[in-house]
Amino acid sequence: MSERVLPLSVQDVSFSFGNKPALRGVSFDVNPGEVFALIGHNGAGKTTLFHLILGYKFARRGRISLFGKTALDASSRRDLGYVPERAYLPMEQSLHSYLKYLGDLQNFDSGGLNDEIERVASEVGLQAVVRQPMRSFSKGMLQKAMLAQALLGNPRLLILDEPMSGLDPDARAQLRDRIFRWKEQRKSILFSTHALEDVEHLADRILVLDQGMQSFLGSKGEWMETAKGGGR
Amino acid sequence: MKLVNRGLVRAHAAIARQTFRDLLRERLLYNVFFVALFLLFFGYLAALLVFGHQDRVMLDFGVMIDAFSIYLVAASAGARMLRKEIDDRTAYLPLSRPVSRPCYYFSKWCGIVGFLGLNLALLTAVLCLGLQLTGGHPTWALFQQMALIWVEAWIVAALSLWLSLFLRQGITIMVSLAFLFLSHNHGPLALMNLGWIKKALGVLTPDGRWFLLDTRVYYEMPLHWGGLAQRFGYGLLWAIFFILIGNAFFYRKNLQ
Repeated sequence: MSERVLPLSVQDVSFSFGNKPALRGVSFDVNPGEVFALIGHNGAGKTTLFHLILGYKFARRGRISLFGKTALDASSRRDLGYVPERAYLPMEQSLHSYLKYLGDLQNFDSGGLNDEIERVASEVGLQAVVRQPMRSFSKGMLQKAMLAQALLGNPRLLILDEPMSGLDPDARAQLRDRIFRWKEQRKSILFSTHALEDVEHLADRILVLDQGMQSFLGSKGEWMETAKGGGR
Repeated sequence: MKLVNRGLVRAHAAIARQTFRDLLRERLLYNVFFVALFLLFFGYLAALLVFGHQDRVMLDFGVMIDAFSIYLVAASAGARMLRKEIDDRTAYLPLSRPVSRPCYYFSKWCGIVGFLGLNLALLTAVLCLGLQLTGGHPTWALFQQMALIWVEAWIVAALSLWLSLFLRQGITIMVSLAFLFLSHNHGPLALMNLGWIKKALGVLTPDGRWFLLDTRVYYEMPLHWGGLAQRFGYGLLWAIFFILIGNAFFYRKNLQ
C-alpha cells in the first residue's frame, strides 16, 4: 500500500455516554512512521478514543479511517496491533494457543503462523514460557504477552493504551527502546500516557485531551514551547 | 470469484473452536452434566423397580433427563459465553483483528452448538448403556429424537445468546427456559381461551411438538428422511431468526 495513505485519520469525532459528552470534535491524523502521543488526565477520553478507532464503540459524529478504509469495516484492522491498558487475556490458556487463535483470525497459514508466534515470543522475551498458562505470568510478563499479541503479523500501526503504566524502570526503558526500533521500521505508533517524560523522549506529535476536547495538537517542539509558556 | 472465502471460514472455525474450549473449561456446565448422569442412574434404579418394560421406563426417564440437561446447558452457555467476554473484556483482542461482529457472534453460537452436540452424545451413550442394562436396545428412532433435542437446543442457545446482550445471566436463563416451556405447550394453550395472547405466543415461539417424537420412540417408528429434514429445517430457521436478531443488537452495541 502507498506510503501516502494515512495509517489513521480521525475527523471531527464526537461521542457521549448517554447525555454526558466524552469526546467533542476531535480531529487528527497519524502519519506513516510517526510516534503520536495522546495525553490527558484520567477521564479525558483517551481510552474512549481508542475504542472508537478499534470499533468497540461507535462515534455519534465524525469519521475514523484506518489505512484509507472506514474503521467500521473490519478489514481496516488488518494492519493494526492494539495493546489495551490492562491484560485482558484468557488466563487459563497458554500464550502459544492464544496467539494461534488470534493468528487464525488474521488468516495466517499454519506453518507461517507457528514461525510468527516464535518470532513475536522471542521479540518480547517470552519464548521460554510460551506454552505455560498465562495465569502463571507475572505482571511484567503479562504486559509482554500483550505486546506479543499486538506484534503478531508485523502490523504497520500500533495503538498502545498507557503501555508504560505499572512497569518498573528497566521494563520502561526496554519498551522505550522497542518503540524507537518500531519507529525505525517505519511503523506508526499511537500511544497514550500520563508520563510527560515518555512524551518528551518518544513522541513526534502530541494531542492533548481535556474533558473530551482537543486542547492542543502539534509537534513536540511546539508543545514544549507551550509548556514553557505555562500551558503545560 | 471465489465461492468460499477461506480466511473467513478460518476465522469462523477459530472462534467456534475457542468457544468450544472455553465451554469445556466451565465448571457450571460440568455440574449440569454430572447431575444429568446422576439422574440417569436414578432412572435406571426406578426402572429396576418396575415389573416388565423396564427399558421403557429407562427410555422415558432418560430422554426427559437428557433433554432438560441439554436445554439447561444451552441456556447457560448462551447466557454466559458472549456476556462474560464483554464484561471481562477478553473480547477486545479478537475484535481488534479483522473480524466482523456478525462473524464473531455467529461463530460463538457455532461453538456452543458443537459443545451441545458433544454433551448430548455423551448423555446418549449413557442412556444407551442404561437401556442395555434394562433389557432394551438403542433404536434409530431414539437417535432421531436425540438429534431433534439437539436442534431445539440450537434455538435455546441462539435465544439466550441474544438475551444475554441486555439481561443478566440468571434472568437470561430463566427467560430462555420460560420460552422453551411455552413452546412445548402450544397444544394446551390452543385449548385455552386466551384470544390474542394465544395467537402471539403461537407466532413468537416455535412449536415444541416438532422436536418430540413421543410414542414413535417407544414403538420404534422412526421418521422418514423427509420428515426429519423438515424438522431440522424448522429448528434451523428459528435459530437463524434469533441469530439475526441478536446480530442486529450486537452489530452496533457499544462495548464497555
